Amino acid sequence: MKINNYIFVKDISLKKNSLKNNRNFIAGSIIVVFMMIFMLVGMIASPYDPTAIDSSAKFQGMSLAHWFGCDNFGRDILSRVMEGTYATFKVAFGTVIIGTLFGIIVGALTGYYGGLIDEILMRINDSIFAFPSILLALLFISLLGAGTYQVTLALGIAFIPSFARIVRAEFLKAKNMDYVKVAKLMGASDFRIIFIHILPNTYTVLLSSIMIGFNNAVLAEASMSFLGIGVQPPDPSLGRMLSEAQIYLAKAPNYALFPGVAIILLILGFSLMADGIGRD
Amino acid sequence: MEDKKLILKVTDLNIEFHDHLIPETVVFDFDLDLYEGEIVGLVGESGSGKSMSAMAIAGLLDRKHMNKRGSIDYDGIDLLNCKRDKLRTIQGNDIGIIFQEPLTSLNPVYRIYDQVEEPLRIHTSLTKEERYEKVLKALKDVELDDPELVMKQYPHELSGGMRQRVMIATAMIMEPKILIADEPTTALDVTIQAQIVKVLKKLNKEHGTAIIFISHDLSLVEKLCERVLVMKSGYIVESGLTKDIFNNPKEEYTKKLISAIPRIDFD
Amino acid sequence: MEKVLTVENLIVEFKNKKSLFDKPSIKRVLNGVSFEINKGEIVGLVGESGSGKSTIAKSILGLIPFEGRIENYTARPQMVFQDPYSSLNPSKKVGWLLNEALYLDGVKDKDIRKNKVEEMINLVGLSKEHLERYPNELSGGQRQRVCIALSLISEPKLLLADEPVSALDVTIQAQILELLKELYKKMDLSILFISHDLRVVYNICDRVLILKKGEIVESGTPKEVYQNPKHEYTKQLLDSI
Repeated sequence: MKINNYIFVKDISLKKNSLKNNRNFIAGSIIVVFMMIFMLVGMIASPYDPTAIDSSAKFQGMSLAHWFGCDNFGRDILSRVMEGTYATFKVAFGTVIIGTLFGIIVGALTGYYGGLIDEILMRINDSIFAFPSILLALLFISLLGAGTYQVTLALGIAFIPSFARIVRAEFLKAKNMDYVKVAKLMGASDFRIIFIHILPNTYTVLLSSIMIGFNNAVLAEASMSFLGIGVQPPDPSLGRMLSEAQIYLAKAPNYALFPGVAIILLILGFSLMADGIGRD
Repeated sequence: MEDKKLILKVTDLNIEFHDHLIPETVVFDFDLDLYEGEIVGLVGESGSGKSMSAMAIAGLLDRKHMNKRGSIDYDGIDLLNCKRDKLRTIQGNDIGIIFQEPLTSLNPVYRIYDQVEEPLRIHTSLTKEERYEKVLKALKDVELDDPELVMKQYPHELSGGMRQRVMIATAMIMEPKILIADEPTTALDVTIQAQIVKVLKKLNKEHGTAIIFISHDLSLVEKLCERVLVMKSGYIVESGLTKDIFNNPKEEYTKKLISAIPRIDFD
Repeated sequence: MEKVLTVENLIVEFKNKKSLFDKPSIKRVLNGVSFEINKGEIVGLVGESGSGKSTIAKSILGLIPFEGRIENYTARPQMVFQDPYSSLNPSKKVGWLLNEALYLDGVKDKDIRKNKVEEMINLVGLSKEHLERYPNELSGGQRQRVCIALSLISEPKLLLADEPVSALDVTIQAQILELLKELYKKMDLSILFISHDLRVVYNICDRVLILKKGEIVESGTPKEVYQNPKHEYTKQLLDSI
């Protein structure tokens, strides 16, 4: 109803819009911050060397010395989950950065200029989009070889189209707003209009899709490492650990449990944040 | 007015919002007696609470985040506090409403005929032919030039003024006792505004529909309404017969509204 | 008299192409419009929606392609748009926008810009604190004031006002018109004032052009035109108010 956003514009922007009062966003942030601390502790003060093999500790259960227990090589699971979270996070982060950066450029150019550039770039986009991102990443891996950086690059490229679409849609909307004409009349260059005048208006939409993209990247990394083409042994990654743990599921359920929980928490945290941002 | 029947009585309506940290009252002690077949103007600037009051009467206020006091008595039913299904039958049958923006109030994917016909399908058991006749008559009533053609068109094919006529036809098809017109002409050109006002006047005369006409423009109210309520920051500051208020405004605010009307004086 | 704008035989056509293989349909929006604006004049351009009023403004500003001759004797004319809700960038503070306009106008000194921005915001009847607000924290009238400040901060000599008050409440309309008149005097402006409301035009313009379906059908001082309308369409417009 028109009247609502008419009178209360001021109040909405001051009170309702503020993320501070958004429970989803707060809960999500808490989980994410917790996982960050967990990860950082692992980097600075990991209780054990995550790759150190101790044959006397094979399949040791949870104890004071090994909080999460030990795996089939006697490696400390807590240290490995910490290290693995970092590895997963690194891949997801890199993926999102590549995807967002190029997605913004492609989306902004196609959305703002339209015409031939739009046709060409979006058709390329469509053809990338037509493949499931994991399948596409697999294709890149087979060309580039397995490994952390290759996976990041492959997933990053696979993520470009979805970001490009979101940014393009926002630019199509913004392009026809009068404030863009006003900026033109001021004498702003196209570059300036695109990146300084319009782009900040896509932040809310972009931010929540970055969060969702991050989740997809976490899942994709985990699945690829699970398949054995992501992070290479003996380095841990959450997906790798799950894959290694599945044989011992009955014998040592804690082996699979903790990396699983770490994945769940990462995804839950970012989903809640995305939901919180998207709601405004 | 003595001989006319009272059809709607609003007493002590207060509306308070709760969806922000600080509750905010937007309508204070709103009273309105609406008699059969009259046209009442509700005037004020944006933020004065005029649309809120009208939405309450139409039963369109969101039930969450909101505190309402008072009563809206229609035919013995309190529209403010009655059950949802009861409200729904009244909404379709007895109270019609038209909004400011005719483009967003029509569904872009349906043809005009389907949209005007929709209330008949929901509320009546008329046959297809009877419904067609009614729709045709309704579109003729709002003085659309070629109703047979308009029926087959989509909203985006019509001009703003035509869309607003279609909206009026949709609102009038159940022959409601009350029509609420919420700034129906604000988005339109002056010439079209005049035509819409004429159509509303005609419908009022022919069908005896009482109209609550909401506007920020006193010049339109002057043309259309017998009675007017002036609202400011949630309060009714002045009310009475339109000609009295125009000739002898008591409140400073009313004077300001009247003086704001652009006029053409040749001197 | 010194001219600020000449428009001669302006023709604008829109090509409507629905898909790649469609034959484009051509719609002529302006059909040979000619007029001029003298220095210090407020010229009203009146017509219904669809008559091509806004198209004229857009061609003058070079926002759309056109045929015919448009000669601008002043540097970079500016425009105030109808909808104050879409003409301010929602992600920028008012101060940022005004500063940006000056920066792009070539004022490189930060302090000069800051002073000018504060001067301008006062000139349109707002205060320094409004500079720190986002557009959605302002009312419709305040937004339109900001739009006016934004268009005038680079001191253009010609202002195109495209229905600047149509989206506002009547009381606010009167205030904005008052402001425009005041600034017109202070800043030595010429204005092309586009409107669908003959009453508004009467009170602000020196000369009025009546536009119908892409052609100017009548022109003269408002008094002449209103008291003695020659064209059927003008009579019709006058009848409706």
